[in-house]
Amino acid sequence: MKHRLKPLGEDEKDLHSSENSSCECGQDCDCEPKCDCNDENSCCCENDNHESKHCDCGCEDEETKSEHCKHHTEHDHGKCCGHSSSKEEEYLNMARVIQADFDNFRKKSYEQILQARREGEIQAIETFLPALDAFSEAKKMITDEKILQGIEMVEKKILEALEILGVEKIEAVGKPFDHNLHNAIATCNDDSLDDDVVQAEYQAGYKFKDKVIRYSQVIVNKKEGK
Amino acid sequence: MGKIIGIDLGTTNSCVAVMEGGKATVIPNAEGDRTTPSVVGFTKDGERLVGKVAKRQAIANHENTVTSIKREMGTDHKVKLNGKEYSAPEISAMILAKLKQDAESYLGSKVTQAVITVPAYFNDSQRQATKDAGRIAGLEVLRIINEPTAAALAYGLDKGENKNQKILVYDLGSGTFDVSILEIGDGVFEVLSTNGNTRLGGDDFDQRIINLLVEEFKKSNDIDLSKDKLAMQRLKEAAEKAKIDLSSTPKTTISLPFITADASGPKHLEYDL
Repeated sequence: MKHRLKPLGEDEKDLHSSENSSCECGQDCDCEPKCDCNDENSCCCENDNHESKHCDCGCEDEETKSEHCKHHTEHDHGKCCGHSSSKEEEYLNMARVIQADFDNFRKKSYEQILQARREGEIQAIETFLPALDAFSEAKKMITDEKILQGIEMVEKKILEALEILGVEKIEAVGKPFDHNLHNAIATCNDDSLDDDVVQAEYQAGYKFKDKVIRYSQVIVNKKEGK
Repeated sequence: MGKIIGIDLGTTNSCVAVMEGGKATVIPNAEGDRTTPSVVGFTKDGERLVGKVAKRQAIANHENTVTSIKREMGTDHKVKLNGKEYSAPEISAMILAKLKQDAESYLGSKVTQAVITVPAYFNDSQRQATKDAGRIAGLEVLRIINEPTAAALAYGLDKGENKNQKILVYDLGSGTFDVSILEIGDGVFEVLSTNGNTRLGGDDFDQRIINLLVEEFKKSNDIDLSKDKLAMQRLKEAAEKAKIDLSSTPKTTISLPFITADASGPKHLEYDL
């Protein structure tokens, strides 16, 4: 229930009509009728002082407010069953919205922490991939068997280390082209292969804990006339 | 009320942002990137692919992939994908729908309203086509804003001391280059003049770097790398990376070990740019 002073200069109906007899403030107010806060039994607030009738008044003037509502400050209208007002509803809704916003923020922050951690791991792994690529390039060109064997051993060691971290090489050559794993950089026409099959891998792709961190760069077979 | 998203529907790449705490925040897409390639494709099974995934399969499935649809906005041009014809706004709508979806999963709520930017030189039918694309994607397009105006707004040029001024906006995209002169007066933007090159962008910078590397390698090794497809792919990647590096550093080193080989053995490419 609101206890508002009748706005100055407004020619309104008699606000202290018989309907609003419960208001005893003696002022020219426009309180909602049938306010029963003067009834101790109907009010669940803990304050015994029920002299005031309209604690949740919308008075803007502090003086008037104290006159209207003697226990204005200590009367907790949030708990007062006879005093549910639209203002209280509004604040309650606002609190709910803020609470929901905070919950969302907390969830989002948690997700962001996890994501940041993951991104950090991925970034670290990605930094090493060009070096790993250089091994496969070197392997294609080295003719000395002993050196080649050594290079392969070093490469294997690195791959094993990456595997421990959760990195997995993507299979490509001879597999059907999969846009979720492969990136087509060129096509070829090879009769010995089926249509849309990966004929060659230009650059190896890698997955990290089921997420593709680099797609395999591949050459896809396209049968002529298809 | 749901949030309103701002969309840069580009020729090569698109981007979506939202106001957060008074600042425009770019929304990362499902793949974690801040931009989404403006590419749409259909697989043999009829699955619709938009963005990076469509770009990855573009070469292997070029007959069912469409790129740079923005160039066709406002025309009667139809694209045939998997035997079905689509108009330019319909294709653009597929890109917008993907951006909308990414924005919804980022914001955790439905998005129904958007502001979309278009080049200042877009005519009425091109603007209408852009609005239509938004509508098809399930977005109420509240405003169509000129790209240079959006850029000026993003830099807060309508506020501060110099509220009334003439500015030059230089927009170098992946595939197009636009220059506009704007007059800002009391919060009103007027595009005084606009020009540019519709076929010039970041990709051309990459190509210049590639050409330089091929030339230099030929001089020092007498080998033409442009005939080697795989070497060219490595050069392309290295060139793009170098270009990006040079945005923040004055010098970068392009290092491609084992780029090729001849009778004398493997050859390496190392070049300071």
